[in-house]
Amino acid sequence: MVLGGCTGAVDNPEHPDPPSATLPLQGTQRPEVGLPHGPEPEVGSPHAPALGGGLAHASGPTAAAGSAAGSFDVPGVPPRAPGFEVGALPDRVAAPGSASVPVRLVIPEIGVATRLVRLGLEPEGGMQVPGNFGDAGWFAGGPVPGQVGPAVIAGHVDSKTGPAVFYRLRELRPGQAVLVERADGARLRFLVEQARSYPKAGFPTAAVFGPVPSAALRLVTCTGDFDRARGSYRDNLVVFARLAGVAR
Amino acid sequence: MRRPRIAALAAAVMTACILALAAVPASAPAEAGPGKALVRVAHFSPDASYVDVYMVSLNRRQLFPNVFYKSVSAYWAVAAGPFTYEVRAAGAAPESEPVIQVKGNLAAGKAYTVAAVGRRDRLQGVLLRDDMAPSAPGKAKVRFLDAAYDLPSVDIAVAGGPVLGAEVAFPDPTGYRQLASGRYRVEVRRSGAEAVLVKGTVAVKPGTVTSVALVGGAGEPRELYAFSDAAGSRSAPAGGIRTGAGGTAPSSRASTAPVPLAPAVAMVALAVLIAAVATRRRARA
Repeated sequence: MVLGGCTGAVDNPEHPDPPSATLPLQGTQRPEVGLPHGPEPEVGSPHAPALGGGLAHASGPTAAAGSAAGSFDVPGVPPRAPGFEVGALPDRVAAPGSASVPVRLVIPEIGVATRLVRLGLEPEGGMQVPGNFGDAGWFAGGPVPGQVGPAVIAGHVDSKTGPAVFYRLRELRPGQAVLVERADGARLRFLVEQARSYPKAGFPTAAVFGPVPSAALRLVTCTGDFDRARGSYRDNLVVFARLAGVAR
Repeated sequence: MRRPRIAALAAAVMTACILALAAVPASAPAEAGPGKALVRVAHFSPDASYVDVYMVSLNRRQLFPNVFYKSVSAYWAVAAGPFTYEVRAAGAAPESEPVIQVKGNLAAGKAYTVAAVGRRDRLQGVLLRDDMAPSAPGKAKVRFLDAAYDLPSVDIAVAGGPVLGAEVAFPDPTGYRQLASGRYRVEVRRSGAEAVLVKGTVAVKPGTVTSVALVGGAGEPRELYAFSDAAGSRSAPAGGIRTGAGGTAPSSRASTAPVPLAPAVAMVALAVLIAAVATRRRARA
């Protein structure tokens, strides 16, 4: 059942796992962090007209705020702007280094500690599932955990005789941790954002597998009523998580 | 009649604001949740090297000092609804007149880029809607933004291949185009002419969404500057996922709740009745 490679007919064999966690694009990251504070911008011209339109609620035109006209040529001293969060532009959280495959999944809150097998597509287009009820599997047609994009890991809720690896997935709550270990030794920490169940007949393919701007993880199992005639649960439970940290 | 309604509306809006405020963690990038939109900012003005960017949404008031040329931030989530983006020279007082002001409305579940473009004495803001819908299996999506204020309108094309954007003028974006994954030599030509103004290489992987800005001028090199919007799966499976064999499913078929409950209640009631009758008989005896 569990195949070594990606079997999807649409997978492009020339583009298997991308070589690095960062995209092959020119830098999207800031070239330097923590700019040196340049020379004080020229002070003088007590230039304090009415508030610029959109910031009309800027807690009153306090004279305490900087009165410099600013400069486009050198970094300035960050102006005092009461009521504002002041900080650097947000950077993307993504795992650096190689994009090697995930090998292990640990979810302390629900007692999951399992190896990860590799999943592809079945000939009819559905997703393969782990052949062993104790294993979870990573969908190799999607990004590697830690890369930008939705990494998908599936596991059974039960076998024919009892609970399987994701039996307690339903207990996961927002804020709880999901840990993924990759073959390159990277240990990724994801935090649960939400859990939702969907009828399989209306599975939200775009929300689970579609583009996202950050490194994300989805854990999928079955839930709801069991349709004995079809030998299948009617619903899927999807846990959405985001990358919160990387350790080696 | 009018006033209470307005008051109620104001109260509702305030409550919504407070709720939104409480719900947002200190640093919240990631995906947009309910009622949230994703925004990011970009700086493509070559001669306004450092600027302060102000972003005010319903739930956040943010100042990013010293944003420099060719910065593209990650997305972060803010409350959907009205927002104001302002740019001032680095270090300028927040009360001073902004050099750029963009006001707009962010729709829940959507993603946006607000970019500063143009010469420093004629800066302008551009609000782009970023499309994160999946592409066809195995394909990538690419769009261009013409941030070259000093060039005439251009055609952007794969060298010896299809035109990706025709008659693109500053400061307009093209729509997203789907391309097979790969590396493309891209040419920027004067509209309708052969002369190549700028060349560059754009590499895209299947399932990804990429923006490419045509930047430069004022002494900065002219180039195609690519940055990632999002990435998805190379291909997505069809339908639900069969991750259960039913061994822990209740043995009675399907929706359990109300039906078996009624007989159970009836049986308990009957038992109580019998017990009561028996007790009374015993008492009498």
